[in-house]
Amino acid sequence: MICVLLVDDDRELTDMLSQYLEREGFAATAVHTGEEGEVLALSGDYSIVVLDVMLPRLSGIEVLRRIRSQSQVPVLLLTARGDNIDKIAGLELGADDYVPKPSSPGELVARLRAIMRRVAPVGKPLNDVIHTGTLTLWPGKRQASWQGRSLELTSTEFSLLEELARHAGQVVSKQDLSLNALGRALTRYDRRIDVHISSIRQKLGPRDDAKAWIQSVRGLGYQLIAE
Amino acid sequence: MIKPSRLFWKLFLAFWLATTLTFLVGLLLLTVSHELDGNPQLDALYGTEEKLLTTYGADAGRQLLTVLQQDETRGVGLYDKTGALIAGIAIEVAVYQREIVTADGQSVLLRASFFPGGPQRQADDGPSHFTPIFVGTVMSALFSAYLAYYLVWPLVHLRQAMRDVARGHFETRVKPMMGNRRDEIVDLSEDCDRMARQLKVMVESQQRLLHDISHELRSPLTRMQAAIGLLHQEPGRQEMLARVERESERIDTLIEELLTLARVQGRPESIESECVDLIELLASITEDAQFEAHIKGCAVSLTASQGFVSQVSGELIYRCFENVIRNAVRYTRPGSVVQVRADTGEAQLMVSITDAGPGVETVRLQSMFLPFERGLDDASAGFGLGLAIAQRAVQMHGGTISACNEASGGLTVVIVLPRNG
Repeated sequence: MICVLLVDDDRELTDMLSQYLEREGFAATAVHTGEEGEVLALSGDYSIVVLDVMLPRLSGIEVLRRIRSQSQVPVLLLTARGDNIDKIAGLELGADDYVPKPSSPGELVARLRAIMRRVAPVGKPLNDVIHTGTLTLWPGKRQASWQGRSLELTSTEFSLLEELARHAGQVVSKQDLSLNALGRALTRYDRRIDVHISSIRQKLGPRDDAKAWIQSVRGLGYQLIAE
Repeated sequence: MIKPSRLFWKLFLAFWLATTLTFLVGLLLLTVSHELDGNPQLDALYGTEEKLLTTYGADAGRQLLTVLQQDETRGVGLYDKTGALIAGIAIEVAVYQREIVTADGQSVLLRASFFPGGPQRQADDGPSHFTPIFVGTVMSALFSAYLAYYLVWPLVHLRQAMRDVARGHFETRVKPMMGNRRDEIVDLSEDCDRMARQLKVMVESQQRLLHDISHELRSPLTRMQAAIGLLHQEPGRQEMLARVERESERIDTLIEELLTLARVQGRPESIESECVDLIELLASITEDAQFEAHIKGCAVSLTASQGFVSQVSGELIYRCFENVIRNAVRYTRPGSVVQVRADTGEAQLMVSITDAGPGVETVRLQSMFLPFERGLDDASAGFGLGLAIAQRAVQMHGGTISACNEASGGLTVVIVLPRNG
């Protein structure tokens, strides 16, 4: 059973969403303040957090920042439709995906499932290992090491890097990245991939020649430089 | 009648100075040149004297000057080698002088208080007559150029600033560029800065309002989506249909309140007014509120002396009183009484509505009248537009609305309306 933590100040909404999620086979718990959300998200009892950006007092973005400073638990943001600043800020802080409000609960469940598939991939043997240069990925365990040290990645970042590493030295198109790593088709003006890639770049650091390990190929996609 | 201003005096003084200087300099040069030039008689005298000296000798020259009556100040004087006056008038400062060796071999000095030479010399030096005009033109051009620069320079800044404001850069300020200058142009730039500040406030409040509206519309829509989702899962859930209905009613109410808010934001002239007895109006609102209050176990009491008839928009004033009184009923303690007092004066009506609720934090006493400002734990109570509508409605009628906390707890809202018509 997947345990979902709902953090939203609208009690009527969380009541209905909990009922909906339970019928879809999730276990849902709802809290209504950012402070409670932060504590429960860090408790380790939940597989995924659904976080509203527009919380009173402690904003959702701030809660996300606090969660990410200690945990890589998957976070799905509920953002205001048309508000790009929150979207980008959320993704940059390590949110795995976002669903605009208002959206149907069906859409929310689809996104939740897509993230959970990435986190616990079915049919991938635990001993599956990808090597390229000093990068080692264990997709079954969702673990990564880079230049001999363990690399902390969110589940979305892991999936993107896995996709690039499987095709190291080749250009992977943004469409393929979106479909294979994020589980959804690329839409127009979609900046999701770019934001996640830039976050991974920061974690990998620059190469000796001051270039990034992940190169963007204008109009085509991204490429992980193979050693 | 326009009062003479600083700019006026600046312009006036500059032009006056320019024209006067042109005139004076011209006049001076003309006078000087006339003073130095001789005239035909003097020229003839000088010519004859010279001829007599060179042809007949010093005596002939002396006789001519002795015989001839000369002006006291202008004329010709004949001096010997030692500088002693022989004949003619004494010339202290010679404009022209010449040493002449006479026919009898003497060396004498002929001095004149003018330029001898006659018509041919004047023809040669013709252009010198244009000197005053030339100088005047240059002077006036210099003054005009300075004046033009002085006027245009701040206007260029002002224009640039206006363009920036038009492009949406409301932080533009012109005043600091004007330095220590003080005149109407600086006043204008101060007004321009004030306008930019005002526009900034307006645009920001507009954006905030839009943001709030979209947020307020989003919440019921999201709940509606969730209810519809549940209905898809289980088509038999009737209570979800009721929920969808409730949310759509909520959206409808919000839109109506927004339209009212937009209406009271218009110009005061745009309201349709009628003669209304406001005390009667208060009585009917109190009666309606009584019904709601009974459910909470509360009561609403109205204290009023005589009627107060005024020319107002009955609907807007009704909404204003209703919003404030219903707010009071909502927040008052169960079992308490909401006091509505009306004090009728000659020129104005003062209505105070006091509840027995928790009151409002001091910082929110003013901001509670802004759109979408509401008590924190009050998500289901309303949109926070009621007091904003009340405030605008009162202001449209030239009145005031204010709130203060009572010492015993509870909040008092005071509405003052002037008597119109």
